[in-house]
Amino acid sequence: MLEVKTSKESGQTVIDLVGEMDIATVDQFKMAVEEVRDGVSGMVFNLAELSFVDSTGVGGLLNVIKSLKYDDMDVKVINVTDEVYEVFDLLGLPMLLGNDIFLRAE
Amino acid sequence: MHFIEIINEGGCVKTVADNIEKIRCYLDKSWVLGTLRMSYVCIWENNEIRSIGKEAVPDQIFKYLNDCFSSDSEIETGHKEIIVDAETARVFDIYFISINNSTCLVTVFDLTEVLKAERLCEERETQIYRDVIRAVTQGKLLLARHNEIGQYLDERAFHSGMEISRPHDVSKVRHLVRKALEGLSMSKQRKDRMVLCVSEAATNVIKHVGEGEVRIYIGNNNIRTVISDEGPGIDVSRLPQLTLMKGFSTKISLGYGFNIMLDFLDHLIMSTSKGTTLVMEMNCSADDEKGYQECQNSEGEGFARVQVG
Repeated sequence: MLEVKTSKESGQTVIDLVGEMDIATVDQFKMAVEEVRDGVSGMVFNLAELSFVDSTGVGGLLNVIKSLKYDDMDVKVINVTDEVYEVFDLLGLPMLLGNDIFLRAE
Repeated sequence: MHFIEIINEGGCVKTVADNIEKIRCYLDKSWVLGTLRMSYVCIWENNEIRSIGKEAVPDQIFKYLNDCFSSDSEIETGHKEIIVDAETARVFDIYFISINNSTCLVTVFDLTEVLKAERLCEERETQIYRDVIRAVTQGKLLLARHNEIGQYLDERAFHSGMEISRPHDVSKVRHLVRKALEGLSMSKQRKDRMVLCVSEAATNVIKHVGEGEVRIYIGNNNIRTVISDEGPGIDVSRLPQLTLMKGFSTKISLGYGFNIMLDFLDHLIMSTSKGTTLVMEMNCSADDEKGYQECQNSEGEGFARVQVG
């Protein structure tokens, strides 16, 4: 189960991911981003409540972020928990996208 | 002459004698030619078959050919059939060379030894992959033969299982594994890692095969999650490369999840000849870190009982 909540905060679109991102839910995430991306200058993905992600989910996130950055959009991924960051790191996500877009959870 | 051109692929000009010597060398080394024998030659003429080679065609083949020629269907030249003699289990390759409406030449090759030699070659190749993969993964990944997998599945240790056929089943499998991990002496981090590995393997089944089965076994000091499918299997020749390269940058379609499994599991046993079976193993120990270290130091000792050849 994945819930994708979209909101606007000081000109930026914030997308909260709540639940699990895997083969069954990754398309739902991609579609939610497609629906809101037009005319947006920046996007923030809040992963505070993302309880699980596997390589399929990470692959989906990677493709979405690459596509947004291709359109010169400012992208940030915030509140990345240790469990989720471990998977990102193992798959080389910080290396591919630059570590500065990820903000770890406190 | 065409053959000589092929062998002389280095581009340098050589004499015909050089090339013939090279071809001779090539042929001498060929295990296929060494084992292939034209066993029998016979001719069907005036509605009867007679042997024209050194040896008479065995009764079983003779009977088979008689049946072929007495049937109404016309035999085209170049027609080929493979038959297995039920009594001796020998395999014969039969060629029909039609000369005219009432005459047909038949050659029979005994393929039994060729097939045996080929199987031996495959066995050798598999053994090399097993050794290489075991070495590059420090004993973590073992390629097992299909009939060896049963040794890891102690039915007395069976905990739970389910069949998977839809993307949503992957989440159900994770739930099942979490349930099985409850109460085991493992850190939360290692439990999370086992759940992640199972998710990766189950996803691969859904993506590449469509359906499969998950079975969880809890032993005295380890947990094994076994995922199997009836798919075409994984090309093992890509495994050494895959196990040495990491992350999305590798662009290998086998699935990035494989890296995760290799990093987080204590042992991964894979059989990929008749469908694919993955045995994902993690040690549990009261002292979690110690258990992990022991496993790292053992260099795959746990596999010793299935080493063959």
